[in-house]
Amino acid sequence: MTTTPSYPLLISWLATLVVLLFIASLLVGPAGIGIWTSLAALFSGEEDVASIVMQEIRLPRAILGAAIGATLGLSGAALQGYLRNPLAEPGLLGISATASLGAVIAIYTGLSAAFPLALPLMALTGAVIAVFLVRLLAGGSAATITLILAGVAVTSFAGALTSLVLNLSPNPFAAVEIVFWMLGSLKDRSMTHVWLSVPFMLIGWAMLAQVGRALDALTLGEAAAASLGFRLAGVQTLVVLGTASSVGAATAVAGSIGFVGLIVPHVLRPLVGAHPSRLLAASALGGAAVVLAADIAVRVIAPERDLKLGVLTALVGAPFFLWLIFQTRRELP
Amino acid sequence: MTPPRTKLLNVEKLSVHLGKRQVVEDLSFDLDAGECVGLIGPNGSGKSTLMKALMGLLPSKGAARIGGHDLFAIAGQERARRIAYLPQEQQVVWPISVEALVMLGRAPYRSGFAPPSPDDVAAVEEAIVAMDLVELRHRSARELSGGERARVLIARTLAQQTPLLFADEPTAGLDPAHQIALMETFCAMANNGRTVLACLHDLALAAQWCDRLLLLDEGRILAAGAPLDVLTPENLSTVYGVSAFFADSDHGPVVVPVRRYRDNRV
Repeated sequence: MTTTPSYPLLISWLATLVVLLFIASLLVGPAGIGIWTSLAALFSGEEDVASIVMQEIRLPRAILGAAIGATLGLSGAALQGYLRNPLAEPGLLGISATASLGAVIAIYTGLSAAFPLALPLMALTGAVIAVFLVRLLAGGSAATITLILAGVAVTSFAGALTSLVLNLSPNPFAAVEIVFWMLGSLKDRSMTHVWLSVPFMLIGWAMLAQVGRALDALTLGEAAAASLGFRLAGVQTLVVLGTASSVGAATAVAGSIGFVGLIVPHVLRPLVGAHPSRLLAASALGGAAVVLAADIAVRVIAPERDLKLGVLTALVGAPFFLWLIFQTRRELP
Repeated sequence: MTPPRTKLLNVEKLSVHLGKRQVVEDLSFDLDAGECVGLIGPNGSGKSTLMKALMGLLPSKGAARIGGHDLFAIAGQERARRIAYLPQEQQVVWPISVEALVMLGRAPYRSGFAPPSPDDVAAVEEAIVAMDLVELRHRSARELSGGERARVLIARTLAQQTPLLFADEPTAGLDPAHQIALMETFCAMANNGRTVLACLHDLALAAQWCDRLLLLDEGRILAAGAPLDVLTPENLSTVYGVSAFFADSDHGPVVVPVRRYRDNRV
C-alpha cells in the first residue's frame, strides 16, 4: 500500500517552511542586529546602517537563496520526470557547465573587475550557447538518450575549456577567484543580481510548470505518452529552454550549487505518490527550503571563514547520493 | 443475417520506411466497429511498425481515415480520443498508484491544472471495475505481478474511452489463464461496439478469439478474413514455414503449430 499525505497539506507545509527559513535568513549575519530592529529596518525608508544591511545585503541574499533553490528543485524534478531517471539533475544538459565557463572567462579576462555585471551576463550567454549546442547535437530528436549524450558532450567540453582558462590564468589571485566563484556562494550579492537573474528564473519556471501532465504520461514510456496526445518534441523544448533559462540564471549569480536538484526531488517523490506533475511544485518549495537552510548554515557554522554554499551542499549531498545509489541497487532485481 | 457493420478505420496504401528499408508496403485494410481483429505475422513482418505509423509515431505515406476524419491531420489530442494504444513495452517508470495510472488514460480529455472532472472519475471507476482492480487501486503500479500489471495497463486504455484500441502483443509474458482473460476482455469490448486490433504471436489465441485476422508478411497483407480462412496450411507454410495441427472444439477452432518445414527463416 502506498500511503501519501494529502497534496495540499504537503504544499502548505513546505511553503510555511520556506517562509520561516526566508525570515531566518534575513536575521542571520555578522552585523548582529536584533530581530525586531532588523525586520523594522527591512521596510524603513531611512539610510541608517541597519536598513542598508537589511535591504541591500540580506534581502537579496534571501531572495536569491529561495529563487535559486526553487530553480534547482523544479528543474531537477522536471528533468528526472522527462528523462524518467531518478539520477538526472539540473547540470545534466551542460547548462551549468557552460554558464560557469562564461563566468570564468569574465573573471579571467578582467571584464568582471571592470564591469561587475559582465560575470552574470557572460554566464547567461554561456547557458544560451549550451542550449543551442545541445539542441544541435540532439538534432531535434525526441529521444531522450540523444539529449543526455549531447548534455554529457557539452558538459565535458565546457569543463575542458574551464580547465584551460584556469591553466592559463595570469596570476594565482585570478585562479583563486575563479575557483572560489565556481564553488558557489550567495555572499555579497546585491539587488542588481536579483533583478538580473530572477526574471529569467521566472520565465524558466513558467515553462517547466507546463509540462507536468506530459511528465505524468511519460511514466508509461514515450510511445504511450505520445499516443495519449502529448507532443514530445514540444515537451522537450519546454524542458530544455525552461532549465536553460532558470538554471543558467541561477548559475550566473551564484555559481554551481550541486546536489540540491538531484536529491530534493528524490526525497519528496514518495510524499507526492510519485506523480511527476505534483513533484514539480513540491520540489521547487523543497529546493528553496534546502538552499535557504544551507545558506543560513554556512553563516552560522563558520561566520569568519566564508564557507562556500556549494561546498556545504556537496558535503551533505554526496553521502546522500551514495545512499541513493545503494537504494537503487537494492531495488533492482 | 449479421447486422450491417459500420466502417471505423480505413487505411489506404500505407507505406513506412525505416531508414532505407521499406517495412510496410502499400497496405490497405478496413476495420469495422465492434470487431476484434488479430494482426498476425512473423517477427519483422511489420505488425508493430504498422501500429506505430497509424499512431503517428513513425512517418508514413498513404492515407488513413477514422470515422471520416483524416487520421494524420487531426491533432494528437483528437487522435487520442479515438484510438488508444497499448505499446509492446509495458513500462511503468514511477511507483504511482494503480488508480493514478488508470487516470492517465483521461489525459486526452483534461487540460491545464484542472482536477479530474466527474466524467474522468466515472470513466476511471468503470475501467477499474471492468478489469477487477478494485482491491489493487491504491497499490503501487510497480509492485504488481505481470498479470496484474497487464490488467492495469488495459484499464488505462479502457478509461480513454476510444472507439478503437491498438494492442501490440498484449498477451506476451502472460500465463494461459491471463491470456484467455485478456482475450475475453477484448471480445467483451468488441461486443460493446468497440474495435480492437491486437498483434498476436499465439496463433491458437488468434484462431479462437478473433473475429477476423490480418496476416502480414514482409510488410504486405497476405490474407485477411475469418481465422480459418487465413490460417490455412498453405499460408502457415509460406509465411511462418510451419505445419499446424487443426481441430474443432466447443470453444472455436484450434490451431497449434507443430513442426518447422525449413530453417531458412530465423
